[in-house]
Amino acid sequence: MLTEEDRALYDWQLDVPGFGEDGQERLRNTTALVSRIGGLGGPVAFALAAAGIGKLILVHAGNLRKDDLNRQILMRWEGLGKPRVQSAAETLSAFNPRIEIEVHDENFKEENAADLVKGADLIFSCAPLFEERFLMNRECVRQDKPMIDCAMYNLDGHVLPILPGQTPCLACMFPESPPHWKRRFPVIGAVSALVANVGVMEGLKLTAGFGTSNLGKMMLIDADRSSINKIDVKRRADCQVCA
Amino acid sequence: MKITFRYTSQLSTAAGTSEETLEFPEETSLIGLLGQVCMKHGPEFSKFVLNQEGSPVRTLVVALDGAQVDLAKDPCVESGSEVYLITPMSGG
Repeated sequence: MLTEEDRALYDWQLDVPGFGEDGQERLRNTTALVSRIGGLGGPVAFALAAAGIGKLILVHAGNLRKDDLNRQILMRWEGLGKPRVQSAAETLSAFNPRIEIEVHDENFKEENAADLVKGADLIFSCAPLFEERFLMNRECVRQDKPMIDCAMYNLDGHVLPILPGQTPCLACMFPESPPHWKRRFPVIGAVSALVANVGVMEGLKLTAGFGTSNLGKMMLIDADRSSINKIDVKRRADCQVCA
Repeated sequence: MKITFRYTSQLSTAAGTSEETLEFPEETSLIGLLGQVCMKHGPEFSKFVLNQEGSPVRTLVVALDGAQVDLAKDPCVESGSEVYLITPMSGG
């Protein structure tokens, strides 16, 4: 049951058709894992906190640098040189103190993958390294957990909601790391936030059970032309992860 | 025949546009079309699309009129179709 404070906080979204008190309650009972809380993961965590997710697990190693600040909206100038997860937790707690936040000042890796995914109901893949993304995909498939893959480059982005066994997984789409990818690439914060919020909507719809499902589709966001296109995607019969 | 191509991420950068409509003299297979588009845009584009043997690279996703295609089947493309070329992206 929602409390009076829940109703006061989330009053405007309780009116969203199909969402209502039931959706809000489901959200409150959900733990979301966000791998990296930079340009994509930061707005993901922020929007989940605003919507009233029960608990956030934030995973990101390292200290804040100046060149993070054009897009990493959970960070603060005062946080330069300090752990990113610390800034993120402070920002989110100040914004919505009712959200439980667990932070890990480390990246998603073999040693922590199983435990991190086990502790979450919904997983957001926002890391820059394909090794991390493929590992997260593999672990989500292994534990049968829904994963929202959010990615971007320049003025483009994609969102791929993954339900293991039902939709293509990340390895179905891209069976190996791209050979010509560069770790540093062009990013404008508004684009990463746009992609992130499309991803959050997919997560909210899956969790709260409302709206139109985009399972089995990849959403392609083009911020240059201000368009979102969807394509039907297929599971790969020879997928090394989910087949 | 006229085909509209859409490109994402690194392909869009290499082509200098995220969308273009190109004219081809006759109906052809999808991989045949990819070869012609690669010829137009050069090696900085084609490295994301075709390997040295002229086969699609494993990290390329192609959608024809809104649906991902099995590149092994190399479907025929009709005039007026839209071909989406998608390469991987990550977070940042």
